[in-house]
Parts: sequence; C-alpha cells; structure tokens
Amino acid sequence: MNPAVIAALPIILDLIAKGVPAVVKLIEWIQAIRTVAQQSQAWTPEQEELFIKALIATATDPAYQLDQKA
Amino acid sequence: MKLFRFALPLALTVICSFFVSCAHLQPGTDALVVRAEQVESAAKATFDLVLNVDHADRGFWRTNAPAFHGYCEWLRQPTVVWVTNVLPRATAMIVSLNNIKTEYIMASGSSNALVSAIAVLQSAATEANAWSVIVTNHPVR
Repeated sequence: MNPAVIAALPIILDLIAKGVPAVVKLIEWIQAIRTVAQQSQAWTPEQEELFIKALIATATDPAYQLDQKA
Repeated sequence: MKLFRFALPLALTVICSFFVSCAHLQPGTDALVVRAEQVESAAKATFDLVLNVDHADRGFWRTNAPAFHGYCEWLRQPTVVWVTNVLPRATAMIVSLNNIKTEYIMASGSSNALVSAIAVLQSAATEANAWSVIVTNHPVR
C-alpha cells in the first residue's frame, strides 16, 4: 500500500473522531483502504515492525480506553 | 452534455480501480502467512474504525446503541499479552495471531494453530465489521 495513504490514516481517524462535516465520506474512505489492505502482499520486516509499534500504541490511544467510571 | 453523462462515471471507475486493485503473491510467499497478515491488517483497520466512531460520542452510543457500545467496551477490555504487558483485547487478539504466525514462520508452530488463530480473529473482525455497517448505515464495498 502507498506509504502516503498509511501516513494519512491517523489524520483521517482524528477527523472522524472530531465528527467533521462529511464524516461519512471519510468513513467510506477508511473502508476502501481496508479493502485494499485485505489484498496486500506479505509484509517486509520493516512493515512488520511498524505494525507492531501501531499495535503497542493502542495501549495509550484514548479510543481504546474503557469508559471512565463515574 | 450526453458524452459527459457517460464519461464521468467511466472516468471515476477507472480512477477508483487505481486505488482498489488485486495484488499477486510474490514467488515463495507462504499463502497462510499472507492470509494471517491480511486478517491482522484488516482487523486492525476495522477495530480502529469502530472504536473511533464509538469514541467520537460515547454518551450517544451508550444511550442509543447500547449493544454497539457494549461490543466496543468488550474490545477495550485490558488483556495480558507477552507475559507482562497489558493491551486492549482488540489489540491482544491481533498480537496473539501475530505471535502464532511468527512461530509458524520459525517452523516451531503448526499450521493448524495458525488456521485456528486466523479464524478467531476473523470472526471478531467480522462482528466489528457488521457493527460498522449498522452504525454508519453504509454497506461495505
């Protein structure tokens, strides 16, 4: 997949989280990217490392945190 | 004008085909490993999508779609991986498949274990995918 597309993903996800106008179009774009990802080739070691880093980053991602207890 | 009516959809179709196209396996690539990586990346993107949609307005989803919010909370449950690390369940499932894939590549794991792990993650991603269709009201391409 094009590295520019990968780089744009966090920005697009941030815009979705902010609920900007035409957010549905952004969600459609993400869904299209996912379709491309489903057809990607085997990863290089560099891609593998980046993927693992992205997984570890979810530990501090607010979207991945449980609801705050009142 | 008539030409434009037919040319525009055709041009859009051609442009879209650049972005969504089939890739071929490289020679010597293990199809099972590629399948595992496809499921991992698709699951990560799907979980990112549903969790960010839910996180955009948790109060709204908790009130209006409690089942969807409940599923997102299930994905967020802290789970222990790599012995001492705690990651959200969505991530832990992907890490688990990745570990089994690595063992398989190193020839210390079985293909049965890898197939099972792929099936587990695929089913969770399929459920998340179904929720993304329901809450966004848009069919997946």
